Amino acid sequence: MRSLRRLPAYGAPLVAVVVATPVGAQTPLGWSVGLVGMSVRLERETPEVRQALDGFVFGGEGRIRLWKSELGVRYLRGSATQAAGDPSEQVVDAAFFVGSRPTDWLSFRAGPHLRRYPSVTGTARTVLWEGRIRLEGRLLGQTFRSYVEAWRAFSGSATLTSVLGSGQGIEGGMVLEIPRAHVLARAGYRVDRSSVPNPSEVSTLEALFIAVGIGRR
Amino acid sequence: MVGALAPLGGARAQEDPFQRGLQAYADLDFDAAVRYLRDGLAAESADLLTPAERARFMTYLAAAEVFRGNRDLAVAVARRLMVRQPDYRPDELTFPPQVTEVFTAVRLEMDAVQDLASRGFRAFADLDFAAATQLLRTALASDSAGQFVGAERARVVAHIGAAEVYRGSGDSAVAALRQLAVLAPDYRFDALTFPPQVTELFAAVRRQTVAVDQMARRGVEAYGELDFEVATWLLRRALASGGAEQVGPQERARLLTYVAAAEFYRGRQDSALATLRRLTFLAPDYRIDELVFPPDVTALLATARRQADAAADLVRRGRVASGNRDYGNAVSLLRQALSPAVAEQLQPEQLAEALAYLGAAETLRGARNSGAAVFRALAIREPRYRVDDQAFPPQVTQVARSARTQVFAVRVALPRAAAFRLGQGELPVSLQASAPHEVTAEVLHRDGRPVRTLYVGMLADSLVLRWDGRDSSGFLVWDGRDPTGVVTAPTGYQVVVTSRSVAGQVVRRVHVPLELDAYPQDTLPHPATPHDSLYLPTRLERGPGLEALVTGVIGGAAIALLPSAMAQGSELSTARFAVGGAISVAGIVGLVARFPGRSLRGNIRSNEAIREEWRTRVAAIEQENATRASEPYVMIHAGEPVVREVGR
Repeated sequence: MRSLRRLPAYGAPLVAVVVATPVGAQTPLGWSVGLVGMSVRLERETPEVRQALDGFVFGGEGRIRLWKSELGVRYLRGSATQAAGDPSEQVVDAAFFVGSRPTDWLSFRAGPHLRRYPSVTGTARTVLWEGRIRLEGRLLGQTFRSYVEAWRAFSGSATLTSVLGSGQGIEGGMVLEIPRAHVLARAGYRVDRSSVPNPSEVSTLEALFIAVGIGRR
Repeated sequence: MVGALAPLGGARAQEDPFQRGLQAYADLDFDAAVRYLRDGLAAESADLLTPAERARFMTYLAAAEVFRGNRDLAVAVARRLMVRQPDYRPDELTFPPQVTEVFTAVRLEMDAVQDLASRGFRAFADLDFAAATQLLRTALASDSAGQFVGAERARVVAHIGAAEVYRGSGDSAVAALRQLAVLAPDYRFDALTFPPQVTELFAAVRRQTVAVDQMARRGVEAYGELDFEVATWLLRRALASGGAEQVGPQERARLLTYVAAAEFYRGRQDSALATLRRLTFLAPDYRIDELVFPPDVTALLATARRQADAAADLVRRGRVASGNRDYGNAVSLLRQALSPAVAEQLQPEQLAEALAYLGAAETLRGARNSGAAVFRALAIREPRYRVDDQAFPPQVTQVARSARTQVFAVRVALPRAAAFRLGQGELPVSLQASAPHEVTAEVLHRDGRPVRTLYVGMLADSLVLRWDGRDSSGFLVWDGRDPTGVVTAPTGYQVVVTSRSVAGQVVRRVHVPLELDAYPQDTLPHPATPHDSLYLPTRLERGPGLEALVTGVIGGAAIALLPSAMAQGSELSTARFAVGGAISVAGIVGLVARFPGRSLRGNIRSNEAIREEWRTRVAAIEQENATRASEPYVMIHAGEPVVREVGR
């Protein structure tokens, strides 16, 4: 198992980049709070079984930025079922991150990502320490932008196996911001995949989401 | 104390005037000490002294002067020292109390002067301009030590000039600003403290000062080029101008000498002599530079002085004879003094004195009618002259008073130079009558055409009239341009005051010529064109459109392609293609919306608004400049009054 103690080995270069990157043309303070709705499809696969569950999770997220430092949190909760009429199983997705946005178009983030989801062998709870990189670009001025965010787990633990194989994901979408009204909306697509080696199981969470909130970048 | 001086000696002491002075001081030879120390301080090598050394030697010099009994000279030395080193205190162990007391007195005097100036500035700030001018003028007059020098003196003079402007004392304001123009030609009035009319008046005065200075210089140059006619004309014009007051008596005397010399070379000896006579009045101790001017001019000046002295001596002897009751001799002497050839050697006050004593002598020797005639002549010449009750017996003063009441004469006084904007300022014309009578005061063209009647009526004692530069129809007599719009110079005018007898007959007129010099007001500069940085781009650059396209295409491709690579083996939905496609389409839309080169109407409107605002400001300034151009600044110079008897 990869120990949490190894986090500094991965985190140090990231922190160095964050600290050393100059401040971009940003307002001193950015913040946002909002609601997120996510249509999920959870695919779990073992050498023997492949199951797919569909469901919906709902929750909230918040973020605050002071100059180039960022702090964020997200909590989503819902359920998924394998087929109509089957009992639903609980899905929880929570994350906390600290990060830096040295420029308008680039962010680095790191923090724990907690998940509770139904696996083949039971309910799995994972804690992934992830590093993320996020790129943003303007489509129509500052109002309409697109982004891609990719992440990878550096270490973590899982309740069922106590060993984590890997964790990675990607998210992309578009952001609409109405600065005068301080309204933010976001919609996109996301894939989050993790695996445990023993017993071998790969779970893939695929989601379409929409988020609405208030704040400014 | 003297004995406390360190022993001095050796060869060096024999060479160094300071050491020799100190040695002489120690030997109580104060005359020698003063001589050596003054020589040392006057030498060029004195510039090498440190402040402490200079202070030490000057203190010894002051002390030596005290011991010689010349306290005034000691005070002068102390002033010179303390202007340079205001905090200097002589060592009380080295110098006796009578020396330190001199420095204390000077310090108190300087503090008092500084206090006067501070109070003057405060009064100015409190808008009490009468007190400000009085305090600041007193400060300057009391500045025996010369502590107000350079910028500090300019500041004091500037405040006096501004206060006089506020008080409406145009003549005094012009005089103060003229002094400032000489003292600090580049002086700039703080726009927050001083009103625009002060700045404008100073600009006009400065221009005139420069003009007078240039005229005088060109006159001297013409003299050097042996063009004596031009030299005379230029120098007389410079001296006649009010701006000539800017130069001190020495400089005026020098210019008068050039005039006299030029007149001499033109063969006009009488004119040269008359000029030198003025010079003797102006600077009695003036010495002609014999390296510059020919000996004939020096000889002429000596003649003028001799004649002036002789004329003054005649008056003096007549006065003495009158005092000795030798009235016959007094009349004889005074009539000699008043003969035209001699009278022109006398100054106005000497002339009035001679007439008063002649009238008194005639009266006292029984020729009452003759005495009355003399007093009438005196009243015509000096309408305000009053025979001294203390100096003459009642029968004389009675005759003099009676004679004066029979004479209808007016003394007309105008400021020698007044500056104002035509239509906004006024020229004061002061009338003083010898006795109540009807007068008419008018402004006429130089050729006699009427311009404006200022006053018609009884003048009992005195009256101040004001002329605002308008004619009888209310139009400005000169607005800078002729009817065709061509810029013209103002013409000459005159103030004429006509005195009438009780029967209404014109008995005499006083003419005062007026010279007008016009100066256009300073115009405002156009505002700078808006800086390029203020303008927004009017066409889209390549950046935003390309950024949208790249962002859309790369972002869309990443969402469409990377998930399958990241989640190999999983059966992903096609939703990623929809999202990726949407992002790509948004990128293309962004490119179209911000296609490079496309006009930005909002920015174009914003830029046009900036230009329009600038054009509006330019138009406002052009209008203001046109207004200023149509209201030129005028300086009026009043000449010497000329009395013309009528009906004789």
